[in-house]
This record gives sequence, structure tokens and C-alpha cells, in this order.
Amino acid sequence: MKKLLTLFITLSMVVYTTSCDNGFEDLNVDPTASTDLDLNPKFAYLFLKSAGDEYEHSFTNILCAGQLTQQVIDMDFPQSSIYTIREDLQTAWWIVSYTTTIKSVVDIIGQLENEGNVGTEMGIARIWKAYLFHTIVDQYGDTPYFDGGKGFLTGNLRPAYDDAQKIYMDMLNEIEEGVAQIGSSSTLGAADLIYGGDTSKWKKFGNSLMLRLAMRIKNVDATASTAWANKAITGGTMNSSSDTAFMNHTNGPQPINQNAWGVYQPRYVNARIGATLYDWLADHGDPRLNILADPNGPAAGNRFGLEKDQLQTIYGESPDSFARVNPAITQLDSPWVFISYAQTALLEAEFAASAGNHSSAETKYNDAVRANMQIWGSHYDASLTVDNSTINDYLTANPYVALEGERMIGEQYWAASFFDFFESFSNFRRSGYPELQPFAGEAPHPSTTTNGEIPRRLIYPSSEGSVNADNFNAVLQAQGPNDQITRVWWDVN
Amino acid sequence: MKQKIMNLLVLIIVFSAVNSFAQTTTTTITGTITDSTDGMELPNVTVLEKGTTNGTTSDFNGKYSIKISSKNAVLMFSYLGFKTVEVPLNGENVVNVSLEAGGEVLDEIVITAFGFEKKTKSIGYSITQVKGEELNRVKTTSPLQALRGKVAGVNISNSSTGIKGSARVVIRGNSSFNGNNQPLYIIDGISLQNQQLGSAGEWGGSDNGDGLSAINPDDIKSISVLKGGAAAALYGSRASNGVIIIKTKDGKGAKKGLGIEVSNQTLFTTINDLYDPQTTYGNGIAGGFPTDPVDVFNSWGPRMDGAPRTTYDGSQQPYEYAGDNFNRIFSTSVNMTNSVSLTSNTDKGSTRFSVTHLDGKDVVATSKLRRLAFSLNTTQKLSDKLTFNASVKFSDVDETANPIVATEPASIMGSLARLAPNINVNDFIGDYGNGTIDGINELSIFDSNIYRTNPWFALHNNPSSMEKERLLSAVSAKYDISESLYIRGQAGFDKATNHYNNTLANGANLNWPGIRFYPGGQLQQQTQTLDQFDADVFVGTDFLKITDKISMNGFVGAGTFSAKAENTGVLGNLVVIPGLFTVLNTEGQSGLYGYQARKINSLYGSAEFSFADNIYLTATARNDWFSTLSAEGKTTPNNDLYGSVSLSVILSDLVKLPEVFTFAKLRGGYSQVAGGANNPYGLGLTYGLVGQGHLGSPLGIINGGVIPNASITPFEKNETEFGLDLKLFDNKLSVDFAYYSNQTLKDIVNAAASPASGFSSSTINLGEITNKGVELLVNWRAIDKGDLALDLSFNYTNNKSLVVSTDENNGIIQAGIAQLFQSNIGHIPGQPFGVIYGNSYVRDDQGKIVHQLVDGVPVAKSENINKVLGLGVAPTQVGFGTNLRYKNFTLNTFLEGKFGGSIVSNTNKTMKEYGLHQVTVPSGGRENGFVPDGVLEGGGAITQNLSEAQIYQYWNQTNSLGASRSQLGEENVYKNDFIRISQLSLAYRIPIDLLKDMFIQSANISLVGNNLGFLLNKVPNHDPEAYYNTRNGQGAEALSMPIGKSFGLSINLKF
Repeated sequence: MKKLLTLFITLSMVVYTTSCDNGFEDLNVDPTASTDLDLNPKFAYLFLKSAGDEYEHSFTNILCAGQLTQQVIDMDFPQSSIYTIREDLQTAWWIVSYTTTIKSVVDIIGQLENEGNVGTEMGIARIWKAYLFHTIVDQYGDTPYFDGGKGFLTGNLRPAYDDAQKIYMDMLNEIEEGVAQIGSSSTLGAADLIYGGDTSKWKKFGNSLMLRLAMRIKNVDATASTAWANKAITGGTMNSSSDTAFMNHTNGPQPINQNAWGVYQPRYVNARIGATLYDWLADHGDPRLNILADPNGPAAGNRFGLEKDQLQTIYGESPDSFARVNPAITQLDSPWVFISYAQTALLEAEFAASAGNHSSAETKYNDAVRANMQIWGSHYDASLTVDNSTINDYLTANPYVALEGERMIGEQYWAASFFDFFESFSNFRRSGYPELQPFAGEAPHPSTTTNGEIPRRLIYPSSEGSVNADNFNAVLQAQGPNDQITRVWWDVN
Repeated sequence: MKQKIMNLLVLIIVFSAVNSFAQTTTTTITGTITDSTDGMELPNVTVLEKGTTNGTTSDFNGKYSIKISSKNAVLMFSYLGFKTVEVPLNGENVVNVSLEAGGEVLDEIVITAFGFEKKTKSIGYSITQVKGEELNRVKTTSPLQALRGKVAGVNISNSSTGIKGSARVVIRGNSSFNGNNQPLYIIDGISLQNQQLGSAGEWGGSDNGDGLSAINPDDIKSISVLKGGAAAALYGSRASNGVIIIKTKDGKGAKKGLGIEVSNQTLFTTINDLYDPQTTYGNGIAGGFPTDPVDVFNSWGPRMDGAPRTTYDGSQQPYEYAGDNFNRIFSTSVNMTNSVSLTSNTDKGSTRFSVTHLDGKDVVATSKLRRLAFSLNTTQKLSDKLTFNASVKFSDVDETANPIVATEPASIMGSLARLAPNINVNDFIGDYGNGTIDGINELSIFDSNIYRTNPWFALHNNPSSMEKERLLSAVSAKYDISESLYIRGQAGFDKATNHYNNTLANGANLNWPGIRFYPGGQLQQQTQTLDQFDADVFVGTDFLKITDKISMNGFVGAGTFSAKAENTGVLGNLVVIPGLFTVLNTEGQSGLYGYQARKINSLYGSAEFSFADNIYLTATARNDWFSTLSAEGKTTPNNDLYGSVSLSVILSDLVKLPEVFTFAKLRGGYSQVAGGANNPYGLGLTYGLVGQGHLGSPLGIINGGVIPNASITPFEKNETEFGLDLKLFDNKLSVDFAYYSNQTLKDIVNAAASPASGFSSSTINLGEITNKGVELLVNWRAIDKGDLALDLSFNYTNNKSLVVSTDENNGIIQAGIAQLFQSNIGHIPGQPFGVIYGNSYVRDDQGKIVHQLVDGVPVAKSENINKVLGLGVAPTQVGFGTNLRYKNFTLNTFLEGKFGGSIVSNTNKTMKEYGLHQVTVPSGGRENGFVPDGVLEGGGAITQNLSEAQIYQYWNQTNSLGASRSQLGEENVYKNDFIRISQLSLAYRIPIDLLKDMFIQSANISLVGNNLGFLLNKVPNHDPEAYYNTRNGQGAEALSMPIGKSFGLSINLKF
């Protein structure tokens, strides 16, 4: 008996001193995960996720920006149409961007730095980071930029908000340096889901983005705007639709592979094309009317600034009285456009017009309209092909007029940015075109939180007030209240 | 270490088996035990050799047989409700005893940590034991349902998801912000996995039950609840929330030889229909008929007059109350439990085998549950020194169509709870009785909102199913090395395999296929295996005499615990052939795989000193090592040493007390427990691939939304408790009082981070939570007159929890979302655990609600602040049981009550928004107007008498989610105090005289009822505890399913 006790005690001692946590370190390593990962899969995810999943895309891009620009109306979610706030819709893009794409691009740049990469891949990553951040800064204003998405690198759980002007200047610098780093080839291979390794197109993408940002600050810093726009155009921007940055989607297998609107459209049965856009297309005899609006539905766009029951009580109509967005361009495998040649050409047209170069402006304007009309047939559905004569007829009927140039360019930019309503909303605020009317000239909806004025930004998540209180209070001090009236830095029009 | 302990265990068994051949001869004592009042034989009397753990129980005929090692031993006979008798043997071989009623119940044996049986009086902490009979009087599908309200300090709530739902069990208050708050379950010495197998979230989903629901309540002999840290400290970190020890029936105490027991219970369950909408006004808007005839959800139409009107489908229908739609959709279900058990009881040991078959249905007719459970439990004395026990349980559970709850598009309630009173849900049943128009496609209920599904379609088109296989196996062996020294080992595993078949039906509607929210349908087939393994070895002494007065028992032990979870599955999107629900019938499939493993190794010991059998002092110590806190290069500890002390003082032995006190004991204890992180792999950043790649390129991501933290250390929980045990009036009245105070420090929490950091949260040690409470248990034999006896029991618990601090900012830790409101459940410093917080009414100095004019209508104004609106966890709980016996009849009732909590009710919000709620009908009817109670902004009472259209606006503005929602959380927070009639049974025991000359030994027949209704319920329209899940954020309701009430018959025969 004593032997057994001794044995036990000895055993316990052995166990205690040697093996109580023997093997625990290995056991606590996840066999299904890796502690490091090659850059290419990271880039592929970054590009694909940047085109947006249905959640953030429908909530913020469609239901907020899309309704604010009166291009789409969804009466089941009328908040942005009547200028009030539903927070989850407004904040989805901000939250999802940081926790997916921003985090991802920060990680990629960190890895490139560690690997000492100062070439093409680093250039692309820096440009892409600027692309992602401009979608955030333009909608929300000041935002965590320098410390954003770095929770795992620095442990900073509560990043400070940076001034939008500083962010803009840094983004422009990053793009310039990024473009300079791009060489003649990349190691991305199939992971370059945008240009398939064509680095010359990446340079054009960078310069086109530089032009976009330069034009955005036109009203707030004309000197810098002109300098950067010149730099971009000299560097070489997109010069045909083959330079347009697309994400090609597939029918599956998973939602991430699919076009966000393709997933959205069947779910949001009351999403209709907005009357403002519908009427503009119709009034100009625009062939894009039957491309954007479902030609098999009612020949009308959805009224704006109303709730569903008001639509019934005032007009005796329901959402079914209005056309849907054409299913032909909202398929699961429909592509997504990041920056198009049409948008770029329109900005160049505007830049030329501002410099008094009207013939150049006209050429760019016509090219842009042509490119946007053709892209639906070439990239979405062959049945949507618009032939040259139709385009020529349109341009003849709606010729570019120098005196009306700014308005015409702004309206075309709005139409050409269909689906990318963030860009449409930003350009509207900056240029003032199209001349959107709040509540179609009627009395404001009683629930409006903007005194009936068109909102100028989207709101931050209110949770920032508790989880990131100090920085949040600081940004409200610096920028203004977290409402839709406060303007982002460049919005002085 | 696992290997080492297993080796040691095998060694013990072999060693002891060898030793067993060399036994000293022993004496067998036999006898019969009877009741002194009527001479009836007493079964189940505990017979113990004094000073040892050698013992047995009397059989059905009151006969016992015990082997003793010394002829001079003293035998102790104890039986609940009778005085314990000690008989010195003095060389006799036959000892017959007659027990006197009343007497000492205090030598009752309770099961404590690691299955050690101890006398209640020696225990310095609070422990409550519930017998199997109590649990099975009315058989429930899960053992925990029957335990509800019966144990002071234990708060049990069930999710509102029907008979298959899970239970939440919290002992002495919640102690972790968002970690595990549920106790450790031990079954026959082995820890049991009680994973939540999927639960509903605020947006919907279904509850697939918990691990414990695989246990057949019929097999349970007793449940011991170790409430405090001092009781549980020996089990270590996993017991930081208390321990529930389940001992299954083993044939011990059954009649000698072969025994057969057969039982049947048939229960009929119907909904407890608390949904009580207004039935005066029909569908329409703003007091008028619907502008759109298809609108069937808004009940803001005119007073129903029975006149024919054009309805949703263009036909003319009388505009009148169409009757109760709930009773059309929900049905009466039949649940049948059949059980057969065989026992064998010999001198050498006992064995029990049972088969139980449960065939159940929910009030949702398509939702079924079938459980087949086998249990084999055997205890054998292989020799005088070696006792061996093996317990094997296998269950196979089939579940189909677990109800989808909350506001999820596929839920039944999503549209049913909104249907206007003049609409008959039967109109949408379709030609096939299943809500379809062609056997496949949903028959729309004419609202283009994709979140509303035809309730018939939702009811009949939920082809999800799951099969759970569970194998629990435990072996233990004890070898007595000498009279006072033993070695014991135990090992066992719990293996669960769950096959899920999650299907979101497709169909076609409004030009798109599918339950409209899932246009193409989605299928997921998954197999999950959950393995858990425990092994422990102890060396100890039962009785070591130190001086004449002081003796000691104790042990040292080593243990290992490991758990592994693996998950494989296939997900398919877009069903190709409608109505064919197999994952390969989809356009695209993707694979799923997950794996987790963790371990805890431990060393521990316990010593109990007895001073003259009047004072007992127990001390324990334990060190746990956690794999989840281990990583290469980690500098902070991955282990912790902690312990407990407890003291029991028998006052009635030490001090002369007034005669009314039969017994008085004072107890107290202090304990520390530490705990590791539950989830592995939380210490470092990892990468993985997402999806199936895109256009030939794999997609790489940073795994998870939680920032890993390599410096996490074990959390700590301390508890102090005091208690008093009193027996008065010759044991007729017993009072057990406890006070406790516990504190959790450095909780391991996923604390919210700003999303701008790239992550939603970060794992950190933070915060402090305290719980202080009292527990009271009173048992009173009020009447005791031969044929007539009345026992009353009452328990009371009050727990005050306090969140002392959270993170360095003392921010709110969110725990749950009250869907569709600007209100949440969370932990706020200075407030109790899990409060409902959100925006509130703006009130003036007199507390009146301030209204602002919206479109000419005064509407309550809200203040967007995080105001505490109620407690998500009720602090006070009572249970009241009566047991009335008259001759062979026994009437048993049990009432359960909870007080002081609140619930955020989405059902009530929805009913107000849609004009279904009673409050939307002013006392004079809507036609005569309504003056809101409150004041206008800038002062002045509201005098405006609202028109019908304005009444609609008033309620809609306050409760709508629409564009203009005022997001009022406070409006729908209800105090949810309740007293539930939880159980009722009337049993008749057929007199033994009638069974003479038959094979039957005993026969019982009972009428039983479960969850029969409420004596008090402060929440209108649904069950006061209709939470959508059993997770940490309690207090939110989301269009809950009605809960069932059951009646039935139970028959039990013993042969």
C-alpha cells in the first residue's frame, strides 16, 4: 500500500513538473489555418470583395446613395428617399469596408513591406487602398485613415479620425507614388482579377483615380485640383472601354462570386428605377432607357420622396406601377465597374471645358456617351447592344453645347455611374448636377431630418460614441454633428 | 497525460483484480427493515457500515444483505423521513430493524464532487439534491425543464422554440460577460457536453436543442446541484458556474433478482394561447378600408360590420372577425414516452438496462421529435475490495422541422402575428393543404414584402432535419488498499455525432422562385462530431483517525480533460429540381470544414477534518493547465492554482438549543476558481481561404473578426458563502438558508472594438462582475395523520448582480439585440448583469411623456440615450410545491415565479404598429377618438382628440420601423413578473392488496399536466419568458411562437 502511495506521489510529481502542459502549445495551433499566406490569394480576395457583397452594397450603395441620387427607389426602405436616417443602412459600407477590404489591403501592404517589395504589386496595393478609402471619405467625411484597419498590426482598437483634407492629399501622393512603382509586369497572375496582369492598364487606372480625386477637390482647392488633374492626364488615363476596371462575376458557387445587385434584385421586390432618371432618359430619347429600365414592365419611374402608403393614398399607385431595373443587367454574373472609361472621359471633358478647350471637351463628351451606351451590350448582355447609328442620332439630337457643358457633363456622369451610386452622389454634390429637386418641389416629408434639403453625407455608426468615444467626440467637434447635413471637406458647392 | 492516467487506471484494475484473489473472509449480515408504524417493509433504506463507505440498500421487500469486514462493526440504517438507527452487531448475522418515522433526516447522503457521497451535515456549502421521482413525475423532453424553479439559486429558462428548444441554467448569477455562464454537467462521473446546437438569433433561425436533451430523464436517479464555488472548486475551471451532477439509475435498491418496470406517458399539448388581439376593427389604413385590397396586415380599417366588402383577392367577403387564426395553424400534438427497464440486484451488485422511446410532436404539426435511448448501468463488487461501475448510454434523436422563429422570413409567426382580424388564415391554405398553389410554389398572402411568408407554407415547407447520435460511456473502479486507504480511477467519453440537413425551401412567387427571401433555395448538409474525454485517478482515505476526536478523510488526484470538435459539410445554392431537397440538386456546391481541440490537465486534492463529528473543516486545492492559453513564446501564465475552505458547525450538538430545534447547523465557505478561454486558437493571427476561389484564383483572408491576444491569462472567480440548516418540530419543518457573494475578475471577453480597427472585437481580460444573493428553502410537513399527509415546500432566491467595471473605458458590452428597436441587452458598469437599455421617452418634471407634433399628431418623443429600461434577468425567483397524500392518492402541484425582470416585446410592438393590439382601441372605440396621455413640447397637457386616421399615425409613429420611426425602446419594455402553474399531477397507487397473486409488484397511474397557465402574467400576448434564445443576452422577445401546455396520463408498472 505504501508502495502504491509512493508510486502515486512520484507520478504526480513527474506529471506536475514535466507534463502538465506538455504538447499544449502545439495543440493550440489551428490545423485548418495558416499563420501566413501568399500575397496572390490576398489580392484576389481584396479585388473581389471591393466589388461588394449584397449586404453592404444593397444597404448603403443602393438604398442610401441610389435613392439620394434619385436613380433607384425602394419603397420598402424609403428612409433615404424622404431624407431621414436608418442607421444600419447608412453605416453598412463604413463597417464592412474597414472589417474586410481595408483590413485586407493594410495587411497586404504590411506583407509587401516585410518582403521589401517596392515594385508593381506595392504600387497596385497603394492605388487600391486609395480607391477604397475614397469611397469612404466621400460618403462619410473625416474617417480613420492613418490608423484604420490596423487592429492586428498595432493593437489599436480605437483609431483616431483623420481630417478629410489630409486623407485626400495623402491618397493623391500614394497614387502618384504607386503609379511610379508599377513596372512592366506583375507577379499577380490570375489573382489580378481586374486587368489580368496588364500593368499598363494599372497605370491608367491609377491616373484615372488621380483625376477623379483631383476633380473632386476642384471647388475647395482649385490650384491643387488643376495640378493633380494635369499630372493625371499627362501620366495617361483610360482611353477606351477596354481600360475600364471591371470585376467579372460568376453565377456561383457562393454569393461572393456573384454580382451584388444580382443577389439583391430578387430580394428587394419593390426596388424600382427612379422617376428622375427614367424621365431624363425618356425626355432625351436615350437608348439607355430600355437598357436600365425593364422594357417589359410599366413605362414609368418610381416617384420619389414618399412612403408606400402615401403613394397609395395620394396617387393610388403602388411600386408595381413602376419599372424595375432591367433584369438583363442585374444577373448574378453581371460585372461590376470600379472606374469606367466613360466616367474618366467625362471628367477630362469637364477639365478641358474649364480650361476653355471646348472642342476637346466635346470630343471627350461624345466618346464618353458612346462608351457608356456600348458597354451594356459588350459587357452585360449582347441583346442590349446599341448600334452606332442610334448613338449618332442621340448625339445629333442632344449635341454638346459649350455653354451648357458643365450641366450636360454632370448629367451624363450621373447616368454613366448607374450602379456606382456613391460616385454619382459624390459628383452630384461636387458639381451640382443633375439639378436634383428635393421632394419634387412638393412639401418636405414630415419625417425629414434635413429640413427638406438633400442630404450631404452618410452617418457614422452611433456605436462609435461608446467604443471609440474620445476620437468620435473629437471628429464631431472638428467636422460637425453626425447628421446628413454636415458637409464633407470638399463639398462647398 | 491522458495516456498516463489511462495507463494508471488500467494498472489499478489489473492490480486490484490480482489482489482480489487474496481476500480475507468476510461475514454477511442480512435482515429485514420495516416501518414501526405499520410494519410495512421499507425498500431503499441505506445500510452503512459505520466509519466506512461500505453500504447497501434494502430491496423492494425491505430485505438487505451486507458484507462486513469486522464482526464488531456497527450498522447504520437511514431512510428519508425516519430516524437513523445504529445497531452494533455483536457477532450476530441477522439484524432486523424497525424504523421510527420522523427522526434524523440529516444523515442523508448527498453526492458531492467526483461522486463522493457525504453526509449532509458534514458539508460546509450549499448543495441541493433532487430525486429522479421528482423529475419524472411529469416527464418532460429534457431533464432541465423538470428542474425549473425547484432549486433555490438556480435560474432556468427555456427558449421559446418549442419542445426541442434548449434551456439556460444559471447558478448564483451570471459571472461572465459573453463567455460561458452555464454550469458543468457531470453524468456518472464524466463531464457531459452541453453545447448549444444552434440557436435563433435576433433575425431568426431555429434552436436545435442542447447537449443535455439527449439524456433521457427517465434514467436519472438523482440530480445534485453544487451551487457554490466551495462545492465546485474541486472540479476546477469548468465548474466556475457551479456543477450539476447527474447520477443515473443503476438497479441499486431494486428488488432482489430480476425486476421489470414498464411505463407509459401520453401527453397532449396545445398552445397556451396568450395572443389576444383586438377583434373589432378590420384590415385597412388610417380608419378607412384598404386602399390596396391586397393589404391583409394592417388592422387600421373601420369597425367590422359584417357587410360584404371586396377583399384581397377581389372577391366579396363579409367584413367580420374571422376567428382565432393561431388555433388554425397550431395543432394539438401527442407526445408518447414508453419505457421498459430491467434490473438485476444481487449480493454482488446491481445492473439496470432500460430502453425509452419518445415519440413527440410540437404544436407545429410538422415539427417532430423521436428519441430512442438505451441505458446500461452496472455496479459490481468484483471482490470485497474492488468495486467496478460501468455506465453506457446511447441515444438516437431524430428531429424534423425545428421551428424557425423570430422575424425571419421563413418563420410562421412573421406573418401570422400580423394578420388582420377579419382575415382567415385558412384562405391561404391552398389546394394541397400546405400553402402552395401547385404543391411546390408558395401561395402568396398578397403582400409584396419578401419578409412575409404564408404561414401554411412556412409550416409545411421546412424540410430541415437533424439526427443526433450520442454515446456516453463511463467506467470507474475503486480498490480498497486497506481499511482506510483506497485508490480510485474513472474515465469516460461523451461522443456526439450530429447530422444536420438545413434546407431553405425554394418555390416560386412573384416571378421569382423561393420563399421569397431565398429565391433559389439553399441546402446544407453537415456532420458534426463532438468528442470529450475525461480521466481521473485519486488516492485517498475514507477515514483516518488522527486523535480520539479528530478524524480525516481526503484524497489527491490527477485529471485530464480533452475536447475535440470537427465539422464537415456541403453547402448548395440554387435548387434545380423544385421540391427535391438534396444538396447535389443545386447549381453550385461548396465544402465546409472546421476543427477545434483543447485540453485541460489538473492536479488536485481535498481534505476533510471532523472534530468530534460536530465540526467539519474541508479544504481543497487544484491547479489547472489550459491548452487554450498556451502558445509558443507566451509570457503570461497558462495555468492557475486555487482552492477552497469550508466549515460546518453542528450547533445543536454544541449548544443547548430550545426544544423546537431538532437540529441546527451553521456553515460557511470561501473559494477561488480560475478559468481558461473556452475557444482555442485565440492567441495568434491566422489566414485562411474563403469560398471556392474566383475565376481560378483562391481567395485569402485574415480569419475571424476578433483581434487575437497572445497575453490572455485565466480569469478568476471568488465566492464566500454562509448558510444555516435548521430542522424544527421534530423535523416537520426544515429551513435551509444561504447567503453568497461572488466576484469574477479579469473575465476573458470579446470586447467591442471600433470597426475602423478592421475588427469587431478583441479578446481581452477585463472587468468585474459581482453577485450577492440569498437562498431559502423551506419544507413543511403541514399535516401528518396516517392516511393524510400534506407537504409544502417553498424556495426563494434573490440575486443582485452588479457589473462593477468593463473595459478601460467602462463601455457597454453588448450581449443581445432586441430586434427592430433602438434597444439592446448589455452590460453597463454600475448596473446589474444584462440590462435592457436603449432610448426612452422624454419626460417632464412630473414624469409625463413629452409629445411632439408630427404631421399634426402628438407623438411621444424619444431620447436617444442608453437608458436602462429593465433587467433582462429577473433577480427574484420562487418555487412553491404542495404534495397532498390521502391513502393511495397523491396530488402534487408546483408553481414557479420570477419577479423583477423585464422583456422587450417585439410581438407587442408589431401588434401596436399594425393596429392589432388592444391598446390601439380606446375605451370608447377608435371612432370616438383618443387623447394621448402626456404633455406637449413646451408644456401644456394634450387636449387634442385624435381622429381614427390620427390614432393610426400615433401608434404607427411610436412603433413603426418605417422611415419615420421614432425608435422607442421604452414603449415595448414590459415587466415580466409571473407565477406559472408549472406542474400538476394526481397519482393513484393501486393498493398492494389488489395486486396480490399477480406478477405486478406495484402499479401507479397519474393524470399529469405541464405548464398549465399563469396565476400572474404581466406581459400581454405572449409567454413572459419568450426569449428567442438561451444565450447571454436574455430579455428580448421577437415574434415568439406560442408555448405549449400539456395534459396527459402516466402509467407505471413494476413486475
